[in-house]
Amino acid sequence: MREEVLRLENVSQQIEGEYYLKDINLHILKGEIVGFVAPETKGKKELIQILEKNIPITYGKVYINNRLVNSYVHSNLSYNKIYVIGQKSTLVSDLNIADNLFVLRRGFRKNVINKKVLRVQTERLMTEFGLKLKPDTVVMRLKPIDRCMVELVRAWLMDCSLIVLDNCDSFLGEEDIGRLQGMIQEFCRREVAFLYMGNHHEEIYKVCHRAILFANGQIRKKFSKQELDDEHINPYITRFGAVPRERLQSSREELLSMTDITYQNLRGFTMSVRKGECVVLLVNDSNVSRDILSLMTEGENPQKGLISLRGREYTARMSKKALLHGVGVIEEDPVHTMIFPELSVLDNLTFLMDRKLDKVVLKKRYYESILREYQELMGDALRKKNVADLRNEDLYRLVYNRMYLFHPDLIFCVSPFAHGDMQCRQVVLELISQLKGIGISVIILQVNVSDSMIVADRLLVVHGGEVEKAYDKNEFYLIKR
Amino acid sequence: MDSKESVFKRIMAIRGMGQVVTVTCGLIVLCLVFGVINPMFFTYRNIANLLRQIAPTLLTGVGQSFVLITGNIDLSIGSVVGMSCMISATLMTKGVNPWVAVIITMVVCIVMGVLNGVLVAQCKLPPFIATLGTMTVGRGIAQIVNGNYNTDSIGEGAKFFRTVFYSGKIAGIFTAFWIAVIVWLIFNWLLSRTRVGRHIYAVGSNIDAAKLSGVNILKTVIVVYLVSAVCAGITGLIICASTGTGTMDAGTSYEMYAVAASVIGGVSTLGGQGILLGTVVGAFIWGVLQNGLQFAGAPVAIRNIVIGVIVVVSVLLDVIVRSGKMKPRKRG
Repeated sequence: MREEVLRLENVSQQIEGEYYLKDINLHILKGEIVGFVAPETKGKKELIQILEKNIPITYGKVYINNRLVNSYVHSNLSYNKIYVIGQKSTLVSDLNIADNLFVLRRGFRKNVINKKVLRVQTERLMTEFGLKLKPDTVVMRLKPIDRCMVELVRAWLMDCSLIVLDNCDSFLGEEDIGRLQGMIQEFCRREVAFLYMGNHHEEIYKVCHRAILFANGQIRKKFSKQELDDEHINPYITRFGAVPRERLQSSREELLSMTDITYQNLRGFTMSVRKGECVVLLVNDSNVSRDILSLMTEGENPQKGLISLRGREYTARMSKKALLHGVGVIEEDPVHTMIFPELSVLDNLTFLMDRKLDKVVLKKRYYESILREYQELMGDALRKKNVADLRNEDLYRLVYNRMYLFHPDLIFCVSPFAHGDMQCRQVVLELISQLKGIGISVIILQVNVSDSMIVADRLLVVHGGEVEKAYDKNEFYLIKR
Repeated sequence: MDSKESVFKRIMAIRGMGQVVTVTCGLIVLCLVFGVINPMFFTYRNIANLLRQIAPTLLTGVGQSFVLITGNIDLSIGSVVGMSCMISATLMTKGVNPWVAVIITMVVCIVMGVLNGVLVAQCKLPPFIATLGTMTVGRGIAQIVNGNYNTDSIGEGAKFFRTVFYSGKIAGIFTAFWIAVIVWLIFNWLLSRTRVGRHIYAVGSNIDAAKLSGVNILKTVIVVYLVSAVCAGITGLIICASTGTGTMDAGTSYEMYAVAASVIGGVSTLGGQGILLGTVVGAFIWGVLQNGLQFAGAPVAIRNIVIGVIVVVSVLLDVIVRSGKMKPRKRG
């Protein structure tokens, strides 16, 4: 019989009177992959914290390798040998792979570092796991998938018996997820256990041995190997609500075209977007997304090719003032990247208004008018002074409505579904359709198909810096998840 | 009653006003304590002098507040004060019309402010290092402008200049304080009512979001350093008018006083937060402490220690309050 790596017994976590985790019972054996389907984010972060370090819990007990490490009676705040791999790297980005693997390791006692020995050891490890990475490569230059691989090797070196994969499909493309899952299976054979967390069960089910459905801080259902299919999970998950079709019609008028663009990672990249159309660019390399944004919003010139907006050449000079030329960006994780925490909710909403109206001083009546008009779209959230008091869904509404109010012609949304839970993703879908409804074109840049198909009119698969395949809405059924 | 309540609520709804009210209560307590220790504290003569004493701190505090709100810092304020004092005094002693001297001085200060802004925003130098460099440059200019000597008296020709910037009185209060009030009113309007003001808060609050929202970061940062340099320049003129000579070490440590006034008044060193009304209260606390402790017979060393401790505690409170915001967000 296989040994147990982790056991949670009736673990509950209450913060400010609210339960984030309630009565969690979970065990994971050596070499087992347990899927953790979490359509909602509530409680997930708290659970990871409890696994990583023994923070105080409200009730229950935590055992690691059959040893009691944390309980409601006593928490010693020590770190467990559990490694978490997520969007945010735990590697030091300015150091190379060898340093991250060996020097930054608990128990490394040498004061003088022999680089040659380190390099040889790292190369040996890389060969062992079939990785073609040079030991001297600085971590910040690694692709996301390679960074994940290095983290897996690091977890192995640190003798971690359990690795938590936190929503990796939000930053890895389909191909990369396949590579990661291959590596996970290799680690499984070496008796490392995995808790594979994600929003989409389809991805998780490909490799896991069993799975749990986690919602609202509780385990809703446990699925055995035989139950890992849509039929068994469907009754427990909510599918996205329909987005009104009549609002999603785009016109024939071409708004943006990029013809034969060569720039950094782009190689003969060609695409076009019509007015009010929603196009998904499925990119396997996030650098490609960055390059497109650099050309459109950061004043960069393509080495070759032509960008035109509304039938006129879109120059680097225009790109420097993209917003004023009708091109907006909603960055990835807008709750953190697009909100001004120190400004009030109304100030956040109206931040672009001065430029829209071209006024240095905004009169009070403008604010009052906006307040009245947006009450319906934003609800009571608009009356709140502090953005910290808003729920995540409201923060998404705030960012998208800021753009709605400014009304650019085109908006680039970077991985809009990567960070929210089910509810947030539903809100984002509605907000994107709301933007389309007033004729704004939306280009969604993301690494996997995710939930974007619901609002997309077209999907372009970008590979090697060029558009490899294009699918119209009526061809979406041809796309394999 | 209802309208009174709503006015109060509206005032308290202004972001940062809560802290200003708290600090104002502290200021009132300080005044009462010093008034009890020495009844001379509340005499007209002392209050008029106190207001005049506060003017330089308030002016430099306003400039520093602008810079701090963008999340940067200006260490060159003291040197710009010295530079302004020396340039204006030197020109006046050489017979240049005082008002021409004032214009030339302000132009040089503005150049210094633009240089700071370009170094920080365009050349991406850390503000601490960039302004540390210009601090030394500014002090060097103050020394070199009159051949490494303090100037002689600016003379009778500059009598009107001295009256306007220091010794004149309007409504029984010295003009130096009125100048500070006017400057405060202008910059407070700029910060709270204009597009530039909102951009300044946005840059300090979330620079990436500001960039994505089309805010010209370079322009905004140059504006704040320019405001800081203008305030420091006017402070230099007030010091020149007060002493009647140009002294090379004028304005020494003023950058620290400016930080003290801003931070005590609730301007966050982490950027994005604070209002200029707080800087006024901060400058008053600084002035009252200096004045009151002097009345109480406390040596300069003790005064410095007390003010230093208050600054550290203010920053500590700011950091604690800010980190409190990082609690897990409630889900609905």
